[in-house]
Amino acid sequence: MSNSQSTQVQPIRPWAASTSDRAITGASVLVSALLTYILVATTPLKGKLAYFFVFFLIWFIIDSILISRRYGSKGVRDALAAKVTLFGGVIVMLAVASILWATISKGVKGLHLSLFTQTMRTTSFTDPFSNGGMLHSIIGTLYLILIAVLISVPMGILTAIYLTEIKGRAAGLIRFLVQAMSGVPSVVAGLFIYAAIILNTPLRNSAFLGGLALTILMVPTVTRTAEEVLNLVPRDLREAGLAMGATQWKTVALVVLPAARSGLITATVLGVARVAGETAPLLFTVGVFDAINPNPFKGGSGTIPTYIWAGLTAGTSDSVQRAWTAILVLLMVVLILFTLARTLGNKRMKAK
Amino acid sequence: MDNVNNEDKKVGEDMSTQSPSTKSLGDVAEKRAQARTSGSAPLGVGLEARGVHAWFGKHHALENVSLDFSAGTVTALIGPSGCGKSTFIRTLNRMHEFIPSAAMAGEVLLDGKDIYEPGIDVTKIRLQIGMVFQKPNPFPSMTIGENVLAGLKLAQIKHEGNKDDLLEECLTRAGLWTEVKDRLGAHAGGLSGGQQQRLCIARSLALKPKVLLMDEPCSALDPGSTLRIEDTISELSKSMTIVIVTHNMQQAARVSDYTAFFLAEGGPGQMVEVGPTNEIFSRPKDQRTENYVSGRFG
Repeated sequence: MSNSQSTQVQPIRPWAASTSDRAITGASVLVSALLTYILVATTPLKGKLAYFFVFFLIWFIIDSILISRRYGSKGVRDALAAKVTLFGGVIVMLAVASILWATISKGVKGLHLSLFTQTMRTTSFTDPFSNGGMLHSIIGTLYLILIAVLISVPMGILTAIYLTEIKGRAAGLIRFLVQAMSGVPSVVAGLFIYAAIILNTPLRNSAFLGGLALTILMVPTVTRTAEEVLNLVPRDLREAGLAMGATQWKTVALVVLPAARSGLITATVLGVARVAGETAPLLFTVGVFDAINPNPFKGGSGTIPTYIWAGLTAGTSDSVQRAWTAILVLLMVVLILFTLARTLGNKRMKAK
Repeated sequence: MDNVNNEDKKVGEDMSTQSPSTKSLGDVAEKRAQARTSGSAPLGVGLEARGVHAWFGKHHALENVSLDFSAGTVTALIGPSGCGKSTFIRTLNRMHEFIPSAAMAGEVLLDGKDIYEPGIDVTKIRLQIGMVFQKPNPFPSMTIGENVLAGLKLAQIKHEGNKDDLLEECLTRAGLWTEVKDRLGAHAGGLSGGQQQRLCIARSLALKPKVLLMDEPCSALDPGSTLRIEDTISELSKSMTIVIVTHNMQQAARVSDYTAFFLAEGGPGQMVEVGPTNEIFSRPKDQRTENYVSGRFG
């Protein structure tokens, strides 16, 4: 650390909170928590949410008083706005965390290896939950997601290309219809496939028809996300491609799509997230099946959502346990798919 | 010329960064002119604009510009912002038409043939008339090497001969080879702004264009990178026709053989004057050009 200068200059952050500031903040949080506890314990207020709201209210007041003494009313307004956003963030976080907690804490009891190796072919939902498994449902759901992705990702991206690159006459109408489509209730999608295909053609329940129903739900999500992502690609890049004697098709294929690559993967992931847990459309189109059906075009198929549905409606403690575990498995399947999509997307990028 | 003073105020803020004296600019241009005449005979293909107009919707942006770019010369287009220089240069390789609501009139002749003739293959035109943009825009998903050769894929041309040789040749001509030869496989985004711009030049060169259009290629770069690009331009001007839009009059004086001065006096942009660069900077014929190049406005 030999410096030619005679005085050593230490880096400091004069704008950061000092130790005493932090102590005061900590104390105010502690005091608020204590007051909240006393208030909830001595009044008829009950429950976790009561703690949450009372704590934020008291903390708002205490902190505002402290801030107003140092920074005046302007500081209070600023701090208040910051706390309101924090409040919103914490509510959302609590909701997500409690869903995850409920799923994991209730589902983990039913996890065992045969879940992933066996089916319900010889087992009833009301049997002890250590019997049987949900391999058929996992395979069915993967089939459905694969079919939906194979159809809706090309469709969605092509539509998005029409909207952002071609900008044809029909763009406004298509954009409107896609937006309207994203509001279609999932049961309507299932009903549509049922009415259009099952009632009118010899085709009967199959994973393929379920995939078609999910496609109806997935296309708007993929299209809208892909459109936004493609719009983020700078116009400069398109012009660079065109100025090099490329046709528009070549420019889109070799310049625009690769530049938007990771965003398009996100669009796919969001689309899968939209449909992975859909149950209603599957009831009309896939049905319920207890064993592995390797043919996605013929015959019903088990799926994780219908497995959950069957478990919950059977109503015994064993069957409900199966349902909770299946929810956990569904979360895991979706998580694995997302991680796969991300790593594959990044790897190709780095490999070059 | 009574309204010149009013114009001064209108465009005054555009060029506040520059205060060159006429004399030094004239000297610079003179030096360049002398250096050029001693060179070999010009190569390449000429470009000729005849009565070019341009509109954006109802806005008449450019009025009746006729300009000859003879083969193997460097022509600088100067003028305050909004005078139609960029619009004009974009009509020269038909990039103008990508702006919705754009319209144009007139002829642009490449080697004597109108590039706006109905039924002509536009992509072939753009292969012959390359373009470098204001902001460096290498393709972010490609490596340095892939960027240089991107044109072959984009324009679907089969390159006869070794691609590595082409790669080295283009990067060398763009003055970038020594800096990137060890990391051709790295992503182009890691290069500095000046390097990215030279990469974009190399990318255009891979298609062996006869004319190179440069739309303020140095406006986003620092002086060092600017000088490098100017060296590149001087080098390239031995084998092709170059048109460069610039806000930097020093640059126009340093690199160009001819200079055209554009101005929009309340209406559509027009070309006020064109001539050999040394004459434009030392003894312009038009008072407005004189005012502009002497820094009295703009």
